[in-house]
Amino acid sequence: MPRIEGTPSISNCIQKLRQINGLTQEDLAKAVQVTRATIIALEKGNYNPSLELAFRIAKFFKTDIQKIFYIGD
Amino acid sequence: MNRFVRYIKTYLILGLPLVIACILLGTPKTNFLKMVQDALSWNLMFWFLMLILFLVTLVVSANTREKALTRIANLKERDEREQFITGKASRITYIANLSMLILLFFFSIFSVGIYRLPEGKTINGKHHALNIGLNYNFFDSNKDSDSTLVYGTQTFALSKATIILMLISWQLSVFNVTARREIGKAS
Repeated sequence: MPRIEGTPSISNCIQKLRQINGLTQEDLAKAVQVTRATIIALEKGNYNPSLELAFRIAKFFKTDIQKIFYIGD
Repeated sequence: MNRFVRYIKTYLILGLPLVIACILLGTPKTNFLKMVQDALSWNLMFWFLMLILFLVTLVVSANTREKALTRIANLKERDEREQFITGKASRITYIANLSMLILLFFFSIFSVGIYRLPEGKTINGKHHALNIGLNYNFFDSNKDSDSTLVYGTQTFALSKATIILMLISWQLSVFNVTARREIGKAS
């Protein structure tokens, strides 16, 4: 999703969670039904996911959305 | 409908080599080749008929358009990020196309000419005149006036300006209808 100017950027800890769980980007991509390129873009912070995808990721890691996505650098 | 379009598509692909063969055959010399060409000519006629039908279906049926043209347009929408990219690229393409069409439309109705004035008709000692004009014709003017053509599609061939104008209208109307439909779905 595009970032509206003036709004704070959304960061995430997907890469960290993925590494803790010993998953590859491909594994995570398959699990949340997106392409590997999307996981790369999410980890780099180049793409903000939809609410639906954010919920899918949170559900996959069995945690809350706020613990994965947060406002900050 | 979908099955019918699929049959047409398959026929167009499989029949293409026969169409090319018919064109390459030219004027056959032997009787056998003449027979072959006769058969191929029937195929050629039918193939073109199906092609016209397919092209009309492409314009009319959104589903067919979606299936047939997404590959040519290289649209990849495997997930939401790719859908977002496609949306962004489409927006830029739409605006860029529109600007190009408006420019082409302007050039198709705008004319500039520099004329040499005949002796004695000079204006203030100047021998050349500049003519700037705007001209719009709905139909293309028939340049070959000596022809004995009674009826042909070229009789009612649309002018370049009309085609461009139709493309501009088509783009704007398709966009607006789609946008309104999507708004309706969302509300």
